[in-house]
Amino acid sequence: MKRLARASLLGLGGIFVLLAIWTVAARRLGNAILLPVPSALWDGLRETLADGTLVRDVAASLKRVLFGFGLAAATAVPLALAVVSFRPLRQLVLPVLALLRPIPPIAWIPIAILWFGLGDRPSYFVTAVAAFFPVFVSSLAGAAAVEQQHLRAARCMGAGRLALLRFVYLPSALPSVFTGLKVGLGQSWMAVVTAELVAAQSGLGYMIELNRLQLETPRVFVGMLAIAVIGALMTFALGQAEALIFPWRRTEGTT
Amino acid sequence: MSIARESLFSLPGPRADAHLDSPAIRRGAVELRDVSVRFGRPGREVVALGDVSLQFAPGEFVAVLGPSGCGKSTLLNVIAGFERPTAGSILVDGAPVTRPGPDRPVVFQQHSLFPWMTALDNVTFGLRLAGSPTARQQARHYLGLVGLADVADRYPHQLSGGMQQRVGLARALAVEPSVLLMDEPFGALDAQTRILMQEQLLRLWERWRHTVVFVTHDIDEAIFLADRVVVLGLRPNSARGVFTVDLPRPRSREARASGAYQRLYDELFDRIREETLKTFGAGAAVEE
Amino acid sequence: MKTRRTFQLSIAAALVAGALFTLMAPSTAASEGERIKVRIGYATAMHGEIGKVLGKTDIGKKHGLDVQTTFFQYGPPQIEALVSKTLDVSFTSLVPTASYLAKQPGAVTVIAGLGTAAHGLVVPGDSPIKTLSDFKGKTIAVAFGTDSQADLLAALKDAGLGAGAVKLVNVPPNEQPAALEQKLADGVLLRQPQLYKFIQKGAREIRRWPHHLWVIARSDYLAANPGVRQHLVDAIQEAAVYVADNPRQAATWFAEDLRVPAELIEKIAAENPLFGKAKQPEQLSVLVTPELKAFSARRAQEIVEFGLAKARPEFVY
Repeated sequence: MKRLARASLLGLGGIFVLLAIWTVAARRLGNAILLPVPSALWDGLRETLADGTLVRDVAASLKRVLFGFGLAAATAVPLALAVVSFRPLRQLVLPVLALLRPIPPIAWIPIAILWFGLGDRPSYFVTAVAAFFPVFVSSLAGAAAVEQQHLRAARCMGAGRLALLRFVYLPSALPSVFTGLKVGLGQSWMAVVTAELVAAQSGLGYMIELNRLQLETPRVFVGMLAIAVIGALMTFALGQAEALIFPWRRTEGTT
Repeated sequence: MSIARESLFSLPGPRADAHLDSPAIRRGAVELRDVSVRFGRPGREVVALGDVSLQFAPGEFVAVLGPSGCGKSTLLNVIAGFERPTAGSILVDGAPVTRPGPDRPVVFQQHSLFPWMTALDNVTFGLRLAGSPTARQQARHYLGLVGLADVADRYPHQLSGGMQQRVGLARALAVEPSVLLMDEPFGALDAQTRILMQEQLLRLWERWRHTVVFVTHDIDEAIFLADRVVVLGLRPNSARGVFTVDLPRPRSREARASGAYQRLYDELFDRIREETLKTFGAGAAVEE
Repeated sequence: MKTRRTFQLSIAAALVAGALFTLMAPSTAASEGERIKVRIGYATAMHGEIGKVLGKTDIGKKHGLDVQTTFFQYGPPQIEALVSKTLDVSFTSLVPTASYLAKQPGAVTVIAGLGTAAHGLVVPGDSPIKTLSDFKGKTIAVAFGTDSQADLLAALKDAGLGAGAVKLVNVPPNEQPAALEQKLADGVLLRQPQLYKFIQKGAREIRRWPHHLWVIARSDYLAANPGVRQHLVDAIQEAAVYVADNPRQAATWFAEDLRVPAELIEKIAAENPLFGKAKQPEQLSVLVTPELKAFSARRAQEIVEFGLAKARPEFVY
């Protein structure tokens, strides 16, 4: 308990020192656009909470991420399992994916706008692309690392291909799938903000871009803070879910 | 002597048991005809198993003994259906073996239980796949037989090595196999646990008298458990001899002191030592 | 244990000190040599042609300036460059300037007025929309933070289409052609030369406004280099004259940046009253006219009303 108290005290102390240095530097600089004082950020936070725009933008970005991420996870995991299980599929799919994978989600934005127009739909596409590859790669690695003994044991219990996928490959791969999901969610979150910088009418990326055009740096910081906090919360939530679902796995040291 | 096969619950399908006095219906006859398993390219071939022909009668307990690299696990794998022989055929009750199945389950040495399932779920697994409506009850019964009824809801990582092997055994027994295949199942256990497991195995086997093919490198284990012992050698990896164990059942610890036991032990020991010495020279042995 | 802690603390302190030092370092002053260094930004707005000329010719040198030009997409990125002091002078227009002055009064000074070009609201050729009122409930793509947005908002207000009646979507100039061609919005606010380019391609113009063009400079830059303002104004004047005298050459240079045909630029440039008012090119004036000042004052008020800035900007001339 003492250790926890000391750790929290140091952490808070660190934040306090940071704020102090920040305030001093901002006052010395005297340029509210370059570096606003922390109190301006606090004001911006209060205002955007009060007029509901922050909540609205957070909800909009979250919705886009969860939708795109969900889409990606729902396609990537089964595809990874199928690829591990069927050799011809593996030979068909892997080269194509290897070609597409290096393209960063940001680069997909112009195409997404052309294909899907303005509004939410290009964001869904971009967030899905961003999440797809981490989830797929992790799931594939997890499924490929399945213990041969487990496969053999299942087969001599009478498991056919589908039963193997469902009862051996999937549970074996699940820890890796979860790792992939965590990374994918983070990528989706970053991608959605970038996608919203162009042609969106809501969301944290939009909020940042709009305030940037008006040189409202405090609110740009508020947007960035919201992005950081929500991102951390999502990772935390997934981590908790992971601990709940895998009682048999000692997840020491995994974030 | 008739060997009764009991089935405590009847399962749907052709494996529902009936009167079993007639030898023609007794199950689990294993025949290997000129089986070899090779891999690699011609010229750089590795012969895991070379030209093995064996026959096991239904209900026989056969131990397969040999030094490391003699192909005993490969032998088990081809009977199980995990590997296909390069030449020759394996027949169980007259039908060729093409793939693994619940008539020939394997108890492995390690890591064969599904870590994401409880002990009970592991045992239930095969029964569920067979479509049994009373799968869970049956599984509980078999867990009880190996003395693990009260840890049914624990996960494998919460069980000791010996307990895990017992669950593996229960899982294999639950699907009422014709041939029970065991690949050094007690190899990773300490000496005392191993002996207790041997005793428990025999007690369980006495009830149903499946055919058992039991791979081991431990001569004591082979003699204690088996009706016959097949000795495999190195280069070529084929049978060096089949020895009958002429000890009365039920086997007891005292039997280890008998003269017959000692003589058989010495003979097997010499045979295997002869083979093992082959590795203490130039060249590498094949992986099992 | 203890030494590790002190090591970590000293690293942290060093990092913090370094950061503070960089933040508080003074901005680079002009060179002490013969010519005064000036970093000029221009964009796709038509007076960028004049900026381009300054970069391509020796006019700057003749006026004691060491000119370095940078091409931007439009106003707001130039303002950011001014804020971070990586730019000294910018060819832009009212609204971006106002955004800056609303946050930091007096940060920039308007030093020259360069007439007007145009921006217009266009729809695809087959669109059923005929007038501004037809846009009710529809979407218009416009670059936020620019005169285009302010002009549009003013016109919509006049047409009775207040806040929310028409959905405005932020599309920067580079994305506007795609927005029009893919019909991503019902209407797009294009500036010259894209305006003429797409009208030629079949788009229909609903309304057109003059796009006021001026030049601003960082006030602290002007203060740090006494006399540079006059040199700048003279250089800009001469560059404007150059455009009047050599329309084809200037257009060809600017066309490199805009990637439109030089003939189109030449045609649009000729429409700028800056060049038309004087009979002789040399009589051309780049001083800020009273009309422009009056317009800006009105615009300053509207900017706050439309929510483009939180405080009312005071333009400095």
